Amino acid sequence: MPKRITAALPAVSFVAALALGSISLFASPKETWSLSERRPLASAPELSGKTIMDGSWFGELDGWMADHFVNREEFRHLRMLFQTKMLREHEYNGFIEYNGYLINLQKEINEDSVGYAAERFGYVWEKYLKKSGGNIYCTLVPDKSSLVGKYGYPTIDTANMDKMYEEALPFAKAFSLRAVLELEDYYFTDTHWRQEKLIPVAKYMLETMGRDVSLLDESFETEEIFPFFGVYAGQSAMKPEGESIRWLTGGFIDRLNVTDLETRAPMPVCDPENCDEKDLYTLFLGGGKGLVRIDNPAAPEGELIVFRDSFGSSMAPLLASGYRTVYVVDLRYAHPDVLGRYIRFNGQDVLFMFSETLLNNSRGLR
Amino acid sequence: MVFSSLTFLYLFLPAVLLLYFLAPARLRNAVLLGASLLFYFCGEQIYLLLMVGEILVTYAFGRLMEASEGRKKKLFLIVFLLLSFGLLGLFKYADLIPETVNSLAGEERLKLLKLPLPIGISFYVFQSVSYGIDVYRGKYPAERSLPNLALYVSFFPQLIAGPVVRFETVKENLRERTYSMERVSNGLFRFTVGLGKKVLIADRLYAFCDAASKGNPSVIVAWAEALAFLLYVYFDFSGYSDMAIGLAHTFGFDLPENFDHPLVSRSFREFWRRWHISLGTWFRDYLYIPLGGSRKGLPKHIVNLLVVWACTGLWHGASWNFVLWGLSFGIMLMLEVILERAAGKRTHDNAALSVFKRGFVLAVTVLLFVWFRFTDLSEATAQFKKMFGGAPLLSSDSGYLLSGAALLLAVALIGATPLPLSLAKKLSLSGKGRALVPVLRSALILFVLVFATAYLVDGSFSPFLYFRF
Repeated sequence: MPKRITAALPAVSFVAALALGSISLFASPKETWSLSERRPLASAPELSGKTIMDGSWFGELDGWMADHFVNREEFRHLRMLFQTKMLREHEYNGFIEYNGYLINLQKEINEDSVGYAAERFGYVWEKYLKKSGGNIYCTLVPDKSSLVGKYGYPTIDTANMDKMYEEALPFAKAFSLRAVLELEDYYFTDTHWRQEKLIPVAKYMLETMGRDVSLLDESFETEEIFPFFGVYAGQSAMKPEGESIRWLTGGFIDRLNVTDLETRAPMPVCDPENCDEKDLYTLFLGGGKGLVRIDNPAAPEGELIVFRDSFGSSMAPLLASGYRTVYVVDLRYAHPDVLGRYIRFNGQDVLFMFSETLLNNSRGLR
Repeated sequence: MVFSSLTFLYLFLPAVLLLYFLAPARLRNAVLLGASLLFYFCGEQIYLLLMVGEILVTYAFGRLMEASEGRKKKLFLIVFLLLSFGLLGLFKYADLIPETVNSLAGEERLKLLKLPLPIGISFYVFQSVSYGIDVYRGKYPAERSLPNLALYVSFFPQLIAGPVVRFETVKENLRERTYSMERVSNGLFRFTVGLGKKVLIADRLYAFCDAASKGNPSVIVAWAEALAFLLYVYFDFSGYSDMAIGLAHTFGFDLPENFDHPLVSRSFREFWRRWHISLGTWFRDYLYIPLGGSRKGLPKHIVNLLVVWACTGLWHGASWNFVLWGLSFGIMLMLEVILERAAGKRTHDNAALSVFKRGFVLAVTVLLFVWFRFTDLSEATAQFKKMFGGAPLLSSDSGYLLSGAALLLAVALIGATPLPLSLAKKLSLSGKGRALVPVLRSALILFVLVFATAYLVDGSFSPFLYFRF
């Protein structure tokens, strides 16, 4: 190669890379939503004398560029590859991959969050449960990260987490699900558990609450949607393969009557047609619903009120095998003050079933 | 604005490069000055006026000192130093004493000013002061061109994190510069190396330090964490210096080297000849030598060392941990002086002794940088405790933490030695290698730009450590 060309090569490479990045950044169409991170992307900073002089325009410009950089997801994936494959670091943004399972490692208990949750639970107890009587239970749904602690990954102090949860619900009898759940009971790419794996867990829960479990011995079929990319698929930037999301049908499940209490409208147990296609797990029990009632005419007498997060959406229909009526309450969507309008608290069994993830990030509870 | 930001890489820098090389030679200083003021304004807005004020004061007093003699000249120097250091004192150190008094009293006895620290103030004030003192000493005439002096003080490649450049170094470059494609290539390559050091290594080392500090304490991890922190500071700061030197080189300026593989030093004196060279020489020329240096007997020499190192520490931040850090190095240098005087200067070390010395200096430096890390002295003390047996040798997550950082630490340790540079030199001197060098450099540029961009697109954390100074 002529010397002039070789001398210019590094400069040309540098300038070309920058020019390509700049032109494509400003010329490309802009998205408003990040599917992978489930968040809105930054809007263009407002240019005015005030935003220039207070520095906010310059500050926000970098965030906007980061959000709208061309091929952003590819760059995130490259970063993940550099970090985990080239530098051989274990984690990328707190995510690990273990046997195909994407796991967001939770290493610390957020005591403030647990304290806040305790305060909200206490409010429900004072307002309704104290007078209502009945058996009150609580159980914590382990996060996937708790289940890989035994393989050498750092995770929260599960014994302490259980203790804090029990202390947050001093009026409830606690039972643990840790012994009945394995990593295989969860999705590869999502935070949630798989409904089709939960029958033994539901049996264990109902037996612990002293209920009949015979309906769970019926035969069920599964239906599925493929591919399903859970919430971790995008967040982890690991580009996993899609998996199937499955739900149970047949047996008593087909005979359940489900009502959205806020609209008084009947609804299906699982609704693959109308769920949020960005987040297929919302097919279970309508996704983000504050108040749902499940009636099971085939079940023994008795009512259960489940205070739950999204894990409850796939579990509550199975718990309905042991109760004639199950009220499913999500305190993130329904304020406790309105519960009295929809539920007569009169000695029903009550179950507080929350995930470790929610307990560690409970500010959304009303 | 920082160099390792998308705004700089994909907006500011391309625009400045384009304008600069399209502009006729007589307008290029104006382009650089405008870019420098805009660069500073992006980060500091109103504090731009402070820097402009410092430039005007430096220019005016330079001219006044040059035009006067004797006591009047000295008076001008004193006023200039009071104004410049006053600015630094007000914005950087005003709260140090009140904070200390309040902390000792356990209540707020003195009111704090709480002025935000203007970015890069320590660098541009030190550059201005060196110029003023040199003009006073008659080392060179005062600069006639205000824009040239303004460009010297505000030159954006080195404005916010050095090196601390002397006016005499760039005096000629301010008037006349030569350009070639090779120079531009070399400059941009150097910039890219610095960017890689900062984004791909330093920030990862910091992430390890952060993770290690949150994990279960253990002796081994505490030492690895302390080593990683030293390496982080080295890669962060030397990376920034590389970017500054590279950019300046692209624009036709030759800035001095600021780092020369300090982590392989065999003595603390050598370490400081290789670490933040421009600051070390500043303190040598404008404080240590005027105090008498080593010429007035051992006791005075020791006092001078301690004064200089306390000031060096204080320059890094208005906090006592920095003073302790500086004084610790001062004490190590003092001990070296005493030992050398007692044992006589050795002319040659055998290999084993050389390795021992390098290991010893590195280990002590790792320890001393614990002071540098924690402005809260109790945190530093806790770290020392962990390192010296106040924790189990290994804890439940030690293996996980160490295995996840092992390669990064190894790369950083090797990268901090002269080995990569000497291999590159060998390659460029060999027949076939010489032809490969531009291709390899281009490949490295693309690699670093792609992966650094990946980090910037995905990450929100990337502050430059030396912004605080």
